[in-house]
Formats: sequence, C-alpha cells, structure tokens
Amino acid sequence: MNETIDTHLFAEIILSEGVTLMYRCEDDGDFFEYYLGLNGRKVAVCLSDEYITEQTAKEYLHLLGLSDLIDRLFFKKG
Amino acid sequence: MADEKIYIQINETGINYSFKSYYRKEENGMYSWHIPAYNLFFSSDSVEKGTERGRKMVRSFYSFWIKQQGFKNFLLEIHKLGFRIPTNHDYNLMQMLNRKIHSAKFKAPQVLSPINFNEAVEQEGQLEMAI
Repeated sequence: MNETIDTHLFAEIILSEGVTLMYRCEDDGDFFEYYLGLNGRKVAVCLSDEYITEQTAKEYLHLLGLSDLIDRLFFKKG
Repeated sequence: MADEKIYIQINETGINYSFKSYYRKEENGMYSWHIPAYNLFFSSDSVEKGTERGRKMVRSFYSFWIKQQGFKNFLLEIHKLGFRIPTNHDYNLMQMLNRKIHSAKFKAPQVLSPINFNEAVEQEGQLEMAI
C-alpha cells in the first residue's frame, strides 16, 4: 500500500459522489473538515497536507459509505 | 471491558480527556494514523507532525460535536462510539441529557486498532467551556 492521494482531488471526488461538507475548522495551520456521508455518518477528514496515504483515503471512503469507490480508485482492472 | 486510560471527564466548567493514537509507517515514508476511541483517521509526513495533528484532530471533534452539533448530540455520539459511565450508564446518560447532572466520567471501550497500526502515542487534553 504505497500510493499517495492528492488531498484536494480527494475532496473533489467525495463531493462529486454526493457527500456534503458540514463544517470546517482550522487549528494552527491544520485544516479539519466534517462531511456527511451517504450513510448518514458524520466523518472527520484532515486535509492539511498536499497528500494523504492510501490507507487514510480508504478509511475515509469506507466511513463515508463510498466503499465501492475503493475498488474503482485503487485497483486496476484487466 | 473498558480501557481505563482513555476517558472523557465532563465537568460544569469543561472537559478533560485522554486518548491514544496509533500509527504505521508506509513504504513511501508517510504515516497513517488512527485514533480508535474517536474513530478518527489522518496522515502525516512525520511522527512529530502526526502527534500534534492527532491532538488537534481530537480538539476538532469536540469543536464539531459540541459547538456545531450541540451538547446533546455530543453525548449521543460518544455513547455511539462506546464510551460508558462505569456505573448505571444508561440512567446517568439520560440524567445528563436532561441536564439533571452536569458531571460524569466516561471510559472508552477496549478498541483494537486495525492491523499494523502498531506504534502508539498517549496524549491528554483539556477544554474549558461552559457545558
């Protein structure tokens, strides 16, 4: 598991899938956003750095009810 | 079974808490983090930055759930996460939701972190706010 994911691209992808941004806060240079997932869960996402790890991205997608995206984003078909 | 070291102590003047962050180093040198008690995940490029970010991330949890969602929703969320008052949890939680009691200590469930999050950092925090 060695991929890094562009954080801004990641945010755009989850928003385009129907997830809603509920709350944003900043704490001494770090940015935290709370999204409403497709499953109704409120999920904290930290988008402070340019990249997040593949592991973190997968956990966010799972919590947001976007588990099917994990296959589409991280596994090449064929 | 509760994890004695991880708690949320609510008083009339504020909240004290302690938590444990777990991390693992990825092949590309970055770090993936998990705070099981709050089910929070994040990344960092160093352990030092991740330790600090974990502290801020938990603070953002309180900010979101208390200031944005309201104290009752905060109580219901920590209940959902598995935090329990050691004696008569349901009764005392209801009393707190009805504002009949104003202080209680919640202990975290014994939560296992996902496989390979094997390094841990223990941290404490304090928030002063009118409850």
